[in-house]
Amino acid sequence: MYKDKALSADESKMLTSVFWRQHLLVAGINHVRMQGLAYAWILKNALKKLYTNEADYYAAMKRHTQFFNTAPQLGTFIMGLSLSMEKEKAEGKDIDDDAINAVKVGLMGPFAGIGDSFFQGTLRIIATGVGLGLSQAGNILGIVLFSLIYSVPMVWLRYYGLKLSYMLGSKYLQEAMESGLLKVITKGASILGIIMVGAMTFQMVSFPISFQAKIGGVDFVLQKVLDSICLGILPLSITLFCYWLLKKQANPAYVLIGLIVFAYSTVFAGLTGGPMPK
Amino acid sequence: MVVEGLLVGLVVFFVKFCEWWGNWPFSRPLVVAALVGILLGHPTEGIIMGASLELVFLGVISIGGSVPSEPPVGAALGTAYAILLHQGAEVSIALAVPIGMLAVLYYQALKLVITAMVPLFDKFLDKRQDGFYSAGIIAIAIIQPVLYGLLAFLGIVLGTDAIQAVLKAVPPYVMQGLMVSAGIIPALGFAMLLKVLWNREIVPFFFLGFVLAAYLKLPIIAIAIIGTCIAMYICMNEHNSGTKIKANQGTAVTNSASGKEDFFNV
Repeated sequence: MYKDKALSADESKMLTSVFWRQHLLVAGINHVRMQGLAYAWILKNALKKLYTNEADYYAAMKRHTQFFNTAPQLGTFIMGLSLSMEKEKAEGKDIDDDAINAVKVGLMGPFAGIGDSFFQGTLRIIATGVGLGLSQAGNILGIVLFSLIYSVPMVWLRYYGLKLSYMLGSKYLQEAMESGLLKVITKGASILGIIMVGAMTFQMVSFPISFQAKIGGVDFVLQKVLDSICLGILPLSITLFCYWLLKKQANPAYVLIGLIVFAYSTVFAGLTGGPMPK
Repeated sequence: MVVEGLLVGLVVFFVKFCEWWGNWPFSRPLVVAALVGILLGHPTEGIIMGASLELVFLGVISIGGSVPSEPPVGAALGTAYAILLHQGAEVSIALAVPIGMLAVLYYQALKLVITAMVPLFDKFLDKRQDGFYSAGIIAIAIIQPVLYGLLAFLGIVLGTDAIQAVLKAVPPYVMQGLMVSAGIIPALGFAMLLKVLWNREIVPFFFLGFVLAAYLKLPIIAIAIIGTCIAMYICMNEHNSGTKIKANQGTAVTNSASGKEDFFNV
């Protein structure tokens, strides 16, 4: 549906300026306005073009320095909306200042949730999983693949999100929210993410038991016994125990120290750290 | 150590700059350690250390702008010390974790300085000086990474000898314990991710992923593809049934329903 509308040359110039500037969204992050300072800077050139009257231009700038905080990778979805509303306002339509801010405030929370869980919880885990194996073997391709898998979708979404939201306007995105589309996308990302975390828990957490003894002339290798119960049962239990501690609001730093103390105590007890039995 | 310090400082400047300019993933330990290794002339060691460090810092993510640790600073310094002092990946981890935690204080201090500057930016707009406003934002974007680079530079120039003295003094079982610790610390990272993702409805998928890796020995990319298929199937189903319920209720959703299909097709 959005393909029907073509962007005028001025409009695409404006969007290009915003696209280049939006990369700096988190640069001026602070405790009072979070990304607000940079948000106004990102829209600056576009606003200047829209408002020929200087007083209106500065009023618009001030409007956009207000508190704003979202996942930077999805920020363009909201910037496109702000732009389309500002454009209508500049053309003389009766749009309340509060409405422009309300759209930003209403969308920044949900987008932050989706962005953080998708980019940091899912996409990064996939990229890391692919890159890590190669890196462990000392292959530089691991870093290249990691960067590409993460960056290509990110840049595409930043660009496409800006264009899409500018053309479709706030009504469409709000409909998408109400219809639960964003909720469904978040859920999908979480499912994929948690599958990857499960897989990597086995592949990346290692706690090999080197303890072995001869009992009645028979070799007793503890790790083999554990493997026959469930492969990777110790990494799984340790991970779930850590999760349980975090859920009980334990400080991650203390959990980290606890893990190190635990590792050392198993070394001293002779359970781990020795040469692995065949 | 001055040349090495400059090189490590340069890496930290570059990755922190890319973190603020577009959130590029170069500030992950995987990349940082490799860059440090390449510049210090030990690329293979750097790449391998990067893999170990990435596992340790895997769960360190910033949510809503708050960071629990500074992996790039920790990884850069940890890798550099380990390479310069001819040590292994365990040493880089042992050094990177505390350094990363300390570096958060630096981040907090910088954030406070910017917070104190907010009224200044307001004043620029009140006085209608948008040029100063732009200059301020760009200055922040450049000066912050420079300060990080400086921190890393000083860390190498002033800290290497002290670290060497400490490493010489430690008995061998300390290293053994570090190796075991390095194996289980990633558990905390995954636990932190689980805290973000955990939801009673989707927990079974955690165990599905675990079994795919443990018993079927599938490589991670295969698991990612299977996971994508499952996630898409469930979401499409759920979304369609949600739309149908709404349509049956007789509300005017015909427009939005066709719009949604467009969303997937565009």
